[in-house]
Amino acid sequence: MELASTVRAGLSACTATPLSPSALHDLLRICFSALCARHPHEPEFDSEELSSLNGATLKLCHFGLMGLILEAARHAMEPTELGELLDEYKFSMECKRVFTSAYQMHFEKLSDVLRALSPSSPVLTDVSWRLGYSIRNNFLHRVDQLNYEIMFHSENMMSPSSKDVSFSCSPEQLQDLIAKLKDAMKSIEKAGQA
Amino acid sequence: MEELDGIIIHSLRQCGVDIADEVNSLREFTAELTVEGVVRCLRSIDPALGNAIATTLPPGMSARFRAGTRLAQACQDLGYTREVGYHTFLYGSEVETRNLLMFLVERLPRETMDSGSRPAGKLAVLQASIAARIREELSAPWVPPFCRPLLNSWQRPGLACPFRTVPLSVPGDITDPMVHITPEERRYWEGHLKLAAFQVTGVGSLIMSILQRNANEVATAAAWETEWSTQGLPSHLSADEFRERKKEGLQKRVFEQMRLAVSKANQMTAQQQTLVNEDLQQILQSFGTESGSEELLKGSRFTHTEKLVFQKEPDKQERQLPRPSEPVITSKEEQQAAEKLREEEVAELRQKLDELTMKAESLKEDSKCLQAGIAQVSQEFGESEEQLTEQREVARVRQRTLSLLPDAGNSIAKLHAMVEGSVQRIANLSGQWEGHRAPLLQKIRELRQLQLNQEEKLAWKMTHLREVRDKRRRIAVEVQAKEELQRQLISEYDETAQDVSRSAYTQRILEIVGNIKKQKEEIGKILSDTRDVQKEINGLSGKLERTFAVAEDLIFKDAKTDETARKVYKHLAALHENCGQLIDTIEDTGAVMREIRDLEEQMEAERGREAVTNLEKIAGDFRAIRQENSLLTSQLKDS
Repeated sequence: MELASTVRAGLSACTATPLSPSALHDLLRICFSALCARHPHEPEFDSEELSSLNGATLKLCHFGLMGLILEAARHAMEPTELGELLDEYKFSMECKRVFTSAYQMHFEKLSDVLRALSPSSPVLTDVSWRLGYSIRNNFLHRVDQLNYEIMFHSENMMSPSSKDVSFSCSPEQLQDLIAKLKDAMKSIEKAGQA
Repeated sequence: MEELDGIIIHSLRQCGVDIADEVNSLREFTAELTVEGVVRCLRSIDPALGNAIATTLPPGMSARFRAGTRLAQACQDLGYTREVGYHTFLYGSEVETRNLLMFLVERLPRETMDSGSRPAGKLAVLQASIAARIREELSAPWVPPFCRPLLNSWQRPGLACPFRTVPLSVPGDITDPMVHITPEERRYWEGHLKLAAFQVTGVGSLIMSILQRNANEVATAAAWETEWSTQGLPSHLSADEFRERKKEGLQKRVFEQMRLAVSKANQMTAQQQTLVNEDLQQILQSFGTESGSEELLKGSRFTHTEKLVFQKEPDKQERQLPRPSEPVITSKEEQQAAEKLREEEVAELRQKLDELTMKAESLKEDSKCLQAGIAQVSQEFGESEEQLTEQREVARVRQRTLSLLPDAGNSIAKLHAMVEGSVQRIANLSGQWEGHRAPLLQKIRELRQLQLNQEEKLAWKMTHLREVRDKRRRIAVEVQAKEELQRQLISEYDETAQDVSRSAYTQRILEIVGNIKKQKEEIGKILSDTRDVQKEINGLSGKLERTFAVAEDLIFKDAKTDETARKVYKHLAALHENCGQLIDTIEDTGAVMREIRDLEEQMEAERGREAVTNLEKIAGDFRAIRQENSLLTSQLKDS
């Protein structure tokens, strides 16, 4: 994992100021709420220490912490590894503890958010079917055929509205489809045993 | 034997034999399992030998026989000296199977055992983790679709949005004295700049922007690092100078390309040209290079007129456009007439325009000629003025000489004195100059030497620096690789920790070695005991011989005279003979006992081999093969 010079400058600023554990805790809260919440609100600095801090330094620290949090979550860093990294920036024991505990608390959520960022194909949510029997159509007086109407309900992450795929097939084609799916399932089971 | 069986089974599992967990000893091995184990071992030992044999037994008796014979042959090829045949695999006793498998396990190459116990490489780890993940997913209970988002976070439709990043504005480090910050910047950062998190709307784009910025800066730093170490350091420039020079070079190259493009553009059609030139002109002006703008002006003089020509037209059309709308056109004919009229007018105007352009061109030519004339005339004027001043100077000198002529002698003497004075002064000055020059030269030489020395030092330092940088990079790479390896090994170690522990094995081996040592000692003791007994026996028999000889001698002497003594002698001889016979018999008994024990052992071994049942089985096989053969011959005959 590599960190940009701006992020490193931000982290060094945290220890050069230096931020007390409680101030760090407040700043981290702001960072995590910005990264994990769907609609973050403009923060108010309740802690006196933060509001008395120079604006430029505070913003730099904030950016540094966010950069580190994101990169750490992206690489799924262990808290111990993170602690070693924080040691490089001379974080005190207490600050380290505050950081790692906040990170551990939000890690699941963060990795979910990061996972959701990558584009993906639609997800199958449900299947509905209907068996039809056509007696006749416009061109034939007698048809007498069975056909299945299958509809896949899918959902795409990019668009919240569900997208449906529908098709009709004969019983044989349906059996083919089922056989293919069973084959896929079997292959997956085999791969799981390997 | 249990331990031995455990080791054999463990080794076979490592070779890839699928042995059920319940199987703990070789007694539970079926013929199929034995064959598979032997084939897998053969494949590990010698792939060429093992790959030719299938791991499963065929159904037909004759085919089974052939497979078994081939396996036996392969084992003998490897150097197995004990008796082995197809029956060893099909109906082999536990002892035979154990002997064979032990032989094969001992022959297994060490690496395959290692690789079997620890899947090597990242790929294997990845595959294992994929398999574990699939198992986990498969073992998860099915959940109705409408409940799923609450349970499986990985399936939850998130806040996905297309990858769009926004450049974030981040303040610099105001405490860093190396960074130059203007007061305006500082005021902006402190007061007006928002937190990075609120410069962007939407969490997705915030995260993407931060990640992108980080990656971007890291990549830029890496690119600069490589460029600086390959090109920057050897150029002996400071980092800023190097950057400046690179910027200049780039600008020059871009400008050259632009100029080429402009000259190419001259061959394009007029309209395209104007468009292209407008853009290019803007870009080139932004570079602020004078020669560039000159070049462009030359190129664009023509295009300028063209632009005017093409701009006029739409103007005219605009002016003309409202006209037809004023009168109300009632009929088609009138419209056509108006159109015709307009076309004529346009043609006329175009002609006029052409004429005017031509006129303008010719006038431009004229003015060019006239300007050239003016330049020529002004040049001539300058030349003649120069001549005039030269001649004036000459005239002044001549006038002065003429004024000196009346007092010639005096003037000449004065002149001589002046010349001499100047010569002396020159000599004096040159003497002084020499005095100054020598130390200065010396100083120059010294300084040059110093500079050379410093350059050498610098070069040495540069090479040293480069070496250190290289070393640093190498070490960083090495450290990374080692860390990776360490992580992998730790994960592998965690996986293999549940396996049979090594220390238990070594403990057991040490115990066995201790036992063997004890047994050896006991054997040594018994051997020495035996030797003692043998010695005693030898001593006793010697004593017996001697005693008998003495007794015989004494009695023999008396026997010549005494009848009783003769009888005694006879008895003694008989006694000795009988005793000898007795000893022989005892010895024979011992030998027979030993033989009996050997035979009993052999019997035991034969019983273990289940020769009778095996023989029956083999006879059965033989019958089956004959039956198959007869079936085949009948089939052949039928066909």
